[in-house]
Amino acid sequence: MEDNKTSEEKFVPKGAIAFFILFVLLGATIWYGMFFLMLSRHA
Amino acid sequence: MDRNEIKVIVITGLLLATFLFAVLWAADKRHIDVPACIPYNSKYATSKITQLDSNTYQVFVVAKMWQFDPAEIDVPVGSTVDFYLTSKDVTHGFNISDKSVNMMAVFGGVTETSVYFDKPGTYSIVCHEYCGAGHQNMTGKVVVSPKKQK
Repeated sequence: MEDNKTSEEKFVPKGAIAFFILFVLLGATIWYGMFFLMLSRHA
Repeated sequence: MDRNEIKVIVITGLLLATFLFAVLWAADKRHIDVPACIPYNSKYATSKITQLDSNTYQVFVVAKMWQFDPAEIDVPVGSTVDFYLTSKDVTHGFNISDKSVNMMAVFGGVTETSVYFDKPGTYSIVCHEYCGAGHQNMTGKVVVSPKKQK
């Protein structure tokens, strides 16, 4: 029981963090891709 | 609140802030305007092309089933074209390829936008609002010639 508690407290959701960072980067890439495409068409 | 939850909220908030800043920057520094609706006047119901000076044109476009009038617009490269768009019947769309022009032609209304053509070529105009049996044939074009017309 003691070991289980210790391992739960030290748990870091690395997969979720990596997924979140990639998700944010993907969103920003798509958004800015569209943004600069629109700007280039307004040249 | 969990520390990771706070981080997620802060990061997404910063990202949204950069989106907002980019939009405001484009509107201010790049003078990006959205199409404007202006009061209807019967003079807009007649299609014509008017040259204001060497590189500024006014184009009065009348959309009707199933064509744009004028269907072809010839301007020299480096021209700024002010489009005034209306419809004689149903609602039509007005989309110029490779330009951020996405307007509606509405009966009894006038939509205005300004487009700068910096590269020569042929820019297709298509109706992108379904308007009836001949909708798919409703096209036009802007021909931008490489040298100034004399």
